[in-house]
Amino acid sequence: MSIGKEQAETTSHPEKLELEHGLQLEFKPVPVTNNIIPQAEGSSSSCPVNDDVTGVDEKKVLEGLSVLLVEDQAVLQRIGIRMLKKLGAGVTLVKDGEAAVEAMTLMINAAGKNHQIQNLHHGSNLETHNSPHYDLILMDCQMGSMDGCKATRVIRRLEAEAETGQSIPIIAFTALVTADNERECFNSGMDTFLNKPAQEHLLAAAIVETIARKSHKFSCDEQAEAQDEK
Amino acid sequence: MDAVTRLHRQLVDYSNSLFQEGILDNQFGHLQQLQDESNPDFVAEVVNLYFKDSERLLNEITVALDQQNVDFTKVGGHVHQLKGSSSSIGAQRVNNVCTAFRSFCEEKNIEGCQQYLQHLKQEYYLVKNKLQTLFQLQQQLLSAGGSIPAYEMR
Repeated sequence: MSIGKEQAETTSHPEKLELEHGLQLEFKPVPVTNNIIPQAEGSSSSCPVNDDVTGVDEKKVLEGLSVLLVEDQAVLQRIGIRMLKKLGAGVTLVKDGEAAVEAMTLMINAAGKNHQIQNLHHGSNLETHNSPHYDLILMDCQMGSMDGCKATRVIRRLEAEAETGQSIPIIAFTALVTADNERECFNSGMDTFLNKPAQEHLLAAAIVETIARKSHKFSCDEQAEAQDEK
Repeated sequence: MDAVTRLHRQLVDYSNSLFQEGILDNQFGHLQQLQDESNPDFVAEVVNLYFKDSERLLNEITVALDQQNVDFTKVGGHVHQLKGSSSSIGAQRVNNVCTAFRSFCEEKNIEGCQQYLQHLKQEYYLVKNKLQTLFQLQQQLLSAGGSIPAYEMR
């Protein structure tokens, strides 16, 4: 479900979100003209992200994160990689939807094997080595034969089939800012819709907020499942 | 006035004129802020990629509009790509022409598309010329021993 512009307008108070590594983001209500639109799934802590991000050292705010950048145009690849690296992220570039699906297939398969091994060994914490891992996908929408929405649908299907419960945060990063495109992005399973070109601090805020929102939802879902099992 | 001061002033005046005329917007400034000691030629690299990519796209649009049965979806796709890269480097006027051109593609309006292709080429070659002049002025300033002024966001 999309948070929608109506909900964005009625959110009335700022919220602080404590993330890992002591980072804090303050969310404030934003007008509908804000160019970051999150896909909220009923989580009460999610709000549209204002570009006034306070209390964060934006210089290396993405330190330790691994981003899969899916972008077909050379100019945008160069700018995207530079911005992400300046923010401290590790970047893997793929040039189309098919390559994104391949990269995610490797990651999902590795996570699936690890999950099976953990189940066999009753929760022992075995690490898989040399398996690719991404914390987030920054996905261009309009690309060649497999566009961002199509790639996202395939990735979500693969995740569901793997049954590990994982769902990688995916941000639609697009210059095509229309209601139809936005709707299609959310319907395909993307989590946030970000207008291109985005300034560094907006990109950083969108990435941090999307990861935080997904991880909050993931832990809520786990708790709900634990309750159901009792 | 010594050479460095003169060249510095010339560069600042020229740079300001590009923003005042709407040829460049703030996005170009953001690009300049991504340049530093570890990436000293970042802006030039990106702009040169932009020139190469844009000329390829303009050529593809020209060929596509010349066909007996024009594939407006294909033309629109190329225009969208050009819009994306133009907006990312701050080529504001090119970006604006792309927006209008895209509407003609959606309407499958061949005359509108052909007219706007010419308009697009004019704006593209104008921004190319201006950026090349800007880089030349920067180079002259650096050769004279000066340093490129930091961009002030508007």
